[in-house]
Amino acid sequence: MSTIQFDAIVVGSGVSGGWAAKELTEKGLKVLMLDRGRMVEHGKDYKGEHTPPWEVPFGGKPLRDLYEEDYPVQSTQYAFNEKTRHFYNNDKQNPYVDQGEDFIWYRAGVVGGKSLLWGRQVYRWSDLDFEANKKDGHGVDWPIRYKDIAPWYSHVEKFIGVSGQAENLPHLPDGEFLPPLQMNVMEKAIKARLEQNYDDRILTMGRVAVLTQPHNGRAACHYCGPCQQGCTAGAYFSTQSSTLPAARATGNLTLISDSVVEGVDYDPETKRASGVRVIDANTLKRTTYTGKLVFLCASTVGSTQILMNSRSEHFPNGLANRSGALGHYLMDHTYRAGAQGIFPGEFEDKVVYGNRPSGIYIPRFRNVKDNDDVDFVRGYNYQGRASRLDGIGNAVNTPGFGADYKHSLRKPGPWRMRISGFGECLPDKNNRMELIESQKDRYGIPQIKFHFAWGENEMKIRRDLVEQGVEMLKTAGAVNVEGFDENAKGGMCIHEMGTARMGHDPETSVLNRWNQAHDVPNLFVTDGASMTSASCVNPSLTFMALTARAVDYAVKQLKAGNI
Amino acid sequence: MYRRNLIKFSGLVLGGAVSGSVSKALMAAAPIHSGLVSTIFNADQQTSVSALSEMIIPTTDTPGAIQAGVPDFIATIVSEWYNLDERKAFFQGLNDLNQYCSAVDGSTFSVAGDSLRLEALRKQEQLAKEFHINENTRAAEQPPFFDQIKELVVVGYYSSEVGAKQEWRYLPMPGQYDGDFDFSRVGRQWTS
Repeated sequence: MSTIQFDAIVVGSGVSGGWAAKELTEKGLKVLMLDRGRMVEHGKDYKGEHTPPWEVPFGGKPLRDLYEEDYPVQSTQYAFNEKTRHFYNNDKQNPYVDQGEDFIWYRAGVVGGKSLLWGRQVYRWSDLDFEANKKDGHGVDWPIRYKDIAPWYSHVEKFIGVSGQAENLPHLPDGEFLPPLQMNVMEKAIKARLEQNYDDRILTMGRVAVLTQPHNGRAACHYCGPCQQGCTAGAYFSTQSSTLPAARATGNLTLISDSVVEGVDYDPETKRASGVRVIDANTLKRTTYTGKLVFLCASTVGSTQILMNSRSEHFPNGLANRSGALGHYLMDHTYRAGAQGIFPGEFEDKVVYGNRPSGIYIPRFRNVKDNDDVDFVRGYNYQGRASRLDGIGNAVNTPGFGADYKHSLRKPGPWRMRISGFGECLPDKNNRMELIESQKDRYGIPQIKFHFAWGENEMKIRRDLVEQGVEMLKTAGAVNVEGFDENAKGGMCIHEMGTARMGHDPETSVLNRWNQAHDVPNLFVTDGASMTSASCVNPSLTFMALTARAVDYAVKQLKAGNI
Repeated sequence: MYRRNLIKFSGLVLGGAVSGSVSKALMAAAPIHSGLVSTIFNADQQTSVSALSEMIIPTTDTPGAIQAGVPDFIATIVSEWYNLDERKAFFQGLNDLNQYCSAVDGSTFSVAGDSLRLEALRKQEQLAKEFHINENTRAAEQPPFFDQIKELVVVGYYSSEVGAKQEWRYLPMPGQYDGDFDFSRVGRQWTS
């Protein structure tokens, strides 16, 4: 067993890990970034990018036997196909207990993590979110407020590039925006009709980490469409396009892929995390790396798994888990529920040119002021888009055959608007993950088992967002309007959060206001695991801002000799 | 394994058929069959599959399903992608078409005239409609033959280079976005 010393060790290379590595290396620290996945080099390894349909096996039909055997969980994710499969976890090789039952755990299997595959939606949280737990008593109080994180949102947005429309909404603060993407002609009409009929609702363009103009050496979007296949132009934010080149440019980064972190060692003498134990994914060789700082950015579930598996005499229930909160308060957003309707006869002479990498956004309007007459706390937003009914799926579903059928498909069908609600999930102690000692993975690490169920509040939110969605589309002039709720399981929104929450009190939370473990001063967790509540707003931007903020604090403390 | 017989439609040599006649299209397209079609289908079935492809997406002012390589695509799916039940249902469907023609004039689907073929396929389409209306059958896992053959032809055609570029308008690299674009400037669906 060998030991190699660094200034800081970052575990994970997704949105959070990439930011930790960039900020730490730019502050002059020698950084080791570890990822359990395979290496993916920018451009070179985007093997599905710009693949024409006729080069996809079986006309794009799913490879059922392979997916059932090796990807039973990942293959249910919308971006999973033969052009992206190489970015995903292999569920057979890296399983969890009762896979697919209580909770759906979508995972990447490569360096860059889910930053390669994400939906790129980026929204600032507000004090409506940071004060929510304190106000209604669910969960513990966030130890930060908007003013603490606002400058870090700006710091992140300026670097990654965020296109969006300023709206001056206190509960959905504006950011450092590049020009917004363009709404299509149907969406503009729906926006006008909704805003005419509702005082409390607006429809705006999605705020998205996709460049609408060249930015920091990266090219603007060329509107090819499927970002998740990888973008050699670097037009959407990923670790590979953005933070990794910055970290590498400092000369201070060592990146080692195929490195499964088994646990973090604790030294009771110094009361510090003393080493990170790594198993080589291919050779199973074990190495321990040491660093003055340890940043866990291995994803919500991944970071907590590492802490839970790091037991010692001093932390018998997992490292930094004196509170007993570790593994609990797992959250996601409600998903796959909303409404859709069509607009026959409207703008039939209009189509779009190009494939826009985002839809529209209807910000939260429930419980924004204190006097809403609804039977639930918190709220939801909608994300959606208007598009013509077209494509191969629509052709299959169009009745008939022959020359008339073929020629009728030359013209796309009517405009359809579909909006899906993203509802806030309350922190609930019963929603949790645990390690099952008797079921180990191929590295000898106990597998995870989830316990998760939507609560009464989430069910009420879902009912309301379907009802309101139907009403809004009818108001906007749609016909054949239908609400839908596919009863999506926890995890399916891929906004998993919690399990190592921040809080004021070391007795009830794992991390302090700086994402620093209450009990282990040189240990930081800055990914989704640290979240104290879920908001209804997409969380990745907040993970990045918390990470940059935590690095700034950690390095100052290190230089002051406090860590 | 699944890549073994992956069809590269781009490698096909396109014939010159422009007539609406299925029979003419079949003849014009004869050389483009790969070996796979003849391993999974016998001669009668090959002809039927080609005829069905061209009936569903015929040659008009743009190439039809045969020139797009759809019979090869169908052979690939039936031999390598379909499970046993689906394969069985597909061959049963071809048999049903033959029996329909045989009952009318003693022929098989492969040698029947265009009007009898159309009648036989319309019968299958009608059976599929009834299947979907009937609550007892529509929940079944196995779709009717008409749905099978139509899905294969439509997916095979519009995902082919011919379908994507000559029938629809292939736009892999738009370079910009316009949400208010006149349909008359393109006149076809986009595909990418």
